[in-house]
Amino acid sequence: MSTETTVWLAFVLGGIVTYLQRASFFLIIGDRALPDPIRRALRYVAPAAFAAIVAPRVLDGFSLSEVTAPDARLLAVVFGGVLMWRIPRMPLLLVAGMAVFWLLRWVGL
Amino acid sequence: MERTVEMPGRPEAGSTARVFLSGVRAALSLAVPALPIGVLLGFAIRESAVVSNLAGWSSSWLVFAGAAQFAAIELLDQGAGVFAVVAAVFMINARHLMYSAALSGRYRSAPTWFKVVGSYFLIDQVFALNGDHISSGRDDRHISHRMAYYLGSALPMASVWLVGVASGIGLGQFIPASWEIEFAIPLMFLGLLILSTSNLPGVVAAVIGASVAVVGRDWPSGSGLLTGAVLGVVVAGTMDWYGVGSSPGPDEQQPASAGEDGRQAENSECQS
Repeated sequence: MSTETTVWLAFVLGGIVTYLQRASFFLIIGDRALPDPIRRALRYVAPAAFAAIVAPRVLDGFSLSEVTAPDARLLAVVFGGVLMWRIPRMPLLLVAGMAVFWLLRWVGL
Repeated sequence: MERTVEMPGRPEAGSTARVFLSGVRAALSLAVPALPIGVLLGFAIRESAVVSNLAGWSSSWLVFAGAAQFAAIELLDQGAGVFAVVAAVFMINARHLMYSAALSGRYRSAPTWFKVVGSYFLIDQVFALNGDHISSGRDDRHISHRMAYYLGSALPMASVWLVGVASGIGLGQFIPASWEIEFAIPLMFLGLLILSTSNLPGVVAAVIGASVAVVGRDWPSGSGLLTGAVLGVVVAGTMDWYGVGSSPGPDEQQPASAGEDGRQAENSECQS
């Protein structure tokens, strides 16, 4: 399978899976509830998955660029985490986090 | 966000259009913060050596879920296969099962065409504007007004997403690589992580997910990320079920989680 075919197939099937998730109760099942243990466990998908996405990019390096020093990223993420925890505003996190990251890069970290 | 509450009974002529527009207006405040995230996704698509611009942009209407799209592109860049990507999308989008369950009662009497179309637009922000938590489970509006508000709130989100991602792909060439603008992507996930973590099992899920993903970062087909996420969910779900570090009682769980979802979507993008 060519790379381009893999990419398209992944997006089409990913789209179908996502649609089926969104349609599951709304369209298909109706308002019967999920089993309680599963419903409650699903609430932890977001923290587990997002942490699993963030950590390797901060502690290891990006696949998108060459990495020279990881310290600026780690420090900026710690700063961003504290900021977001105190003031949960996504635009503020992105602006302030990038500013601190660039500042740290500028001073040579 | 504003909320139009209509009287029961048949709606007067022309009022459905007004309700539709009030849905559009309510969603604008959530669509504006989603725009830079869409642009970032466009950057990631442009930077990807594997995902073409057209395929990446098309993921915005095929998958229509920001975090899952970011993860899918990341996995494809790492050489992951179709199964690993689809499994990751399933995992990251699993909360839509809960949204779907939460909204199904409110739209029970809606026609099938609406349920077919509405399912497609059931993203975080649309859920946030149309979920039962808005009016404490009580909704006196006529079903046609509920449908109009729902579709009205979906319109700005979908538009901003498709335009934002295209802009990011187009603007990417003007951004020097030395700026490392892509660092904003883990920052965004950090924000989503903090917004979605409200108790001890959530923290445990995050620590397990992060640790396993770092240890398994070189595992094939992005299985480190997946394994971390699954282990985190299983352990945190077990803790939650046995009442370790989570608020007790299933009765209190539903409004609490709905409130978090609302806060999350209101403060951020979180197309996720």
